[in-house]
Amino acid sequence: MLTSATRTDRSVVGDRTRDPAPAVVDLDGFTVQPLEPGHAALVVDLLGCRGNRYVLDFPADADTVAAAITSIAREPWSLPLGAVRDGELVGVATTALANLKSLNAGFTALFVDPPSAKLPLAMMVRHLFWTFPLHRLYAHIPAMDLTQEYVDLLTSVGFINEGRLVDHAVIGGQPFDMVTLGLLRPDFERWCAAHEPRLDLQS
Amino acid sequence: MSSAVASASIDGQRAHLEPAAAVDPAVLAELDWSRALHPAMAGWVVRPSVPSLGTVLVRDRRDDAVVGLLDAVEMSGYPGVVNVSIYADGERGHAGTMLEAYGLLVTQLFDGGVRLVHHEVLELNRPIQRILRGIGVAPTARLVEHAYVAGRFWDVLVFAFGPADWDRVRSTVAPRSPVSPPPSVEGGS
Repeated sequence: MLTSATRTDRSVVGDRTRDPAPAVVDLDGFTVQPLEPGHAALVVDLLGCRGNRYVLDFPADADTVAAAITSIAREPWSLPLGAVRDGELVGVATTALANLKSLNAGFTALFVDPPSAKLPLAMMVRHLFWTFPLHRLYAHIPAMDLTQEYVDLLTSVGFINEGRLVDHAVIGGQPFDMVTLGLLRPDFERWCAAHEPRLDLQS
Repeated sequence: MSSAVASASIDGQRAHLEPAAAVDPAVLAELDWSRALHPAMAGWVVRPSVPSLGTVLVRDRRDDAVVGLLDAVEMSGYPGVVNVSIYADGERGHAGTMLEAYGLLVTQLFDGGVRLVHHEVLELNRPIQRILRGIGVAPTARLVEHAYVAGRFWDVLVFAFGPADWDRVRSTVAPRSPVSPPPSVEGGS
């Protein structure tokens, strides 16, 4: 049985003396920053891009978006983030509906140009895992041509396609499947080691 | 979701469903504790002080014993899709009564306009998986390590079915009535 003295010794000599992983919010011209209610008009513009309105079915007025940003930021383990490049908002992401027992949270991301958003997405995912003790992120994307680029984007940073929620969404009066995607912390750490060591959480 | 689900009691041949909001909180607390000790059940960590409209307590009409709980909650972001969770107190038996109660609840949900009944089942909960597969409902997603239960993370299987599927179940799998369980599932949890 461990004694308190043993535990004290272990904490002193164990490998926890290594340096903590730093926050990584600036990389290759991209900056990750908190999304604030004052950014609402920019988010409204983002909702109008490509298939974004199908990814996030949300009223496109700035007041509603500002209120939502405020509300989400008050929830446990929720952190609305924006990705900026050359002074322009290129994307947003947030966790929501965190489950504090199972250490998971829903994840939503929107970008102006999803095919070119791999690095800012990975930076935001990394910052969420760096900030909260989450074990898993999950996302639901409508199974339609206009949103396939989000399935491709999320899987490009380690999310796994876990199947479908059949007919769960109704878009334009028609039922659509939702693709379910999940990302475990250890899988993301492996992805970073293999593809983007600058985002390593274990350094 | 139709609030009619829990606004009034429902009686079957053996099952009596009553809105949990009208039940002694101590009875709910006892059931929640039993549920929390069962590895296959991913119930409330802390039940809200006021039970949701879709939560019903199930009693066996033969002896008035409390035999389980059914929770029906509309999924966030998916209007008309209701997540149903089942807790049958295995210590008390009455599996057939719970199955009848489940049938009554699902029938009422679809009659009230629900589009889909959705189930999230722990990978270790094979009895429920057998029942769902037995009525022709297959899982469509496996949520990897989505639930922390009994000291570790477990995968969760997603099942869903609509009113047409339920009509088929009522007419073919359980033709005597929508609430009559096939003999093979008696005794399941």
